[in-house]
Amino acid sequence: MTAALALGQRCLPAVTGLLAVAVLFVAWQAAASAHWLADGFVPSLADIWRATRHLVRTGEIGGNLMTTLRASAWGLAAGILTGVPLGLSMALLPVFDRIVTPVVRCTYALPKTTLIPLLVLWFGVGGATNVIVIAITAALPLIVYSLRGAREVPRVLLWSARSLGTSRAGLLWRVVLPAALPQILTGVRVALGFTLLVAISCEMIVANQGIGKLIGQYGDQGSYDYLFAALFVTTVVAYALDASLRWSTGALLRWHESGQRGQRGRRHG
Amino acid sequence: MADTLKFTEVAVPSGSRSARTMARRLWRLSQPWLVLLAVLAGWHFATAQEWVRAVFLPSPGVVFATLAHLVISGELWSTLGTSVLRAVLGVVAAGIVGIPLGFAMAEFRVCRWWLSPYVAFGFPLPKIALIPVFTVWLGMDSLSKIALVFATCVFPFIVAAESGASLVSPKLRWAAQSLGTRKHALFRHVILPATVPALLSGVRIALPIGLITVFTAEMVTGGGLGEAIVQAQRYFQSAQVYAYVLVTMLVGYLADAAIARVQRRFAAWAEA
Repeated sequence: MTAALALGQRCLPAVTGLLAVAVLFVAWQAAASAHWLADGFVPSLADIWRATRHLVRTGEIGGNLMTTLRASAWGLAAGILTGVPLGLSMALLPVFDRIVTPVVRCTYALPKTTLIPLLVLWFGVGGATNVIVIAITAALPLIVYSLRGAREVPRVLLWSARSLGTSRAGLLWRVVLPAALPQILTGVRVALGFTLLVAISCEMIVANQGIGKLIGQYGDQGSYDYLFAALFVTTVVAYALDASLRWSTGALLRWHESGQRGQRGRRHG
Repeated sequence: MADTLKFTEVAVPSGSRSARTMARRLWRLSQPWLVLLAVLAGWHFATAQEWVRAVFLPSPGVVFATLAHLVISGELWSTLGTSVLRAVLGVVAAGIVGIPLGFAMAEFRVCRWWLSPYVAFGFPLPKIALIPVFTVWLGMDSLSKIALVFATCVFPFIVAAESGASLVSPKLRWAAQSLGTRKHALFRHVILPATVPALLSGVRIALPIGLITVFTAEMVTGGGLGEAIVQAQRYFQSAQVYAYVLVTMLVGYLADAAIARVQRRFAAWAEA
């Protein structure tokens, strides 16, 4: 009896969550089929489902999704490869920090999509422009979080490593980087969110393929069922990416004693 | 490289100590400006030597002259004002709705259960892709853009308030409750103040996203600075494109600096 009750207690959040989603879907379907809203403004769920299946079957969504994800992956990778070393060296070299910080602060707050028209002048409409905007967007949070992470490395760790004869390069690679890893991974998660936002924005402004382009095109045509279908698929993919990042962060940081701090950081991101 | 990780400021030679510290401080303060000067000089040099064509990179003089013209003719103020007003209204509305929702999720289990699936899927949903939908529902004008900013920024606010409030130390609650604090007084005097740092961090996250959203929406469906920038690029008026990008950079910087100031004023006791 008590066991069943405990099980029920544990399942309650999940059940309520499912119920919450179900309520939304039922209300949506009811509004669509009862024509409470002007026709076509809110396509019915059945139409969206049909559109999704059609998009998947024709490969239209797969191809465009791959384009978006490829640009995001390249941009994110470039952002990690530039942002993390930059942030770490800013923590290690105060002079460098003072030189780079103003540049970082100016670009951090810059709404990065306004760079698109400028970069189009340089690189034309297409892949390179988008990847560069994404890379800039991803690099900045990574610089900030790696800098913060490296600054918070306990001095005791550095002193002990030095006194045990660790070389300077070894210090960076084997002490500072692992100690800053929780913060860096938080940075990656923040960067991933911005990456997708900016990738889709770029495609809506200038691109001939990708999810953003697809959505803009269906919006112009007035095919809202297809638009919502593309939107739902994108949301599921974005959610899955974030969830897998969270999961791999947990796996990577299992050794880390202050798991709680990592938890907090992740929740803030 | 790693030397700087040790304590370096240990021994200060006696003698002209104050003059030396003054000089050092001056050198430190001037470094960012030196960087700026170096960038401007390099930019000027590159254009004067015609390493790059003026279409790609106009000289700094031309860009600043264009900027001055935009400012004086008043062209900048109308477009910029429109964009900034939309962003601010959207962010404020998101705060008004999102922060109470976040608190409700932290305080009441029922709210958390019912709302968390929406937050879980609404957060990663790329709201920018809703531009066509909002345009159809609310028109091409300001309303659809404000709504889009609202939709984008409401989730960071919910998450900030929820995680901030649920991280309030239980000891503080117990202490207040054992002193006989009522529920609303507990919220007013314990939970709300303890969540202020998280809320301000939320604002600091939401505002740049709001600006990105406004400018992007304007680039796609017209109006405001976003449209102006796209138009300038379309007619290859590169000096104007650069001038506008500088303006948006300045806007973002000022907004962030303002929040940073508020953070220092009201949340200085929390780690940044």
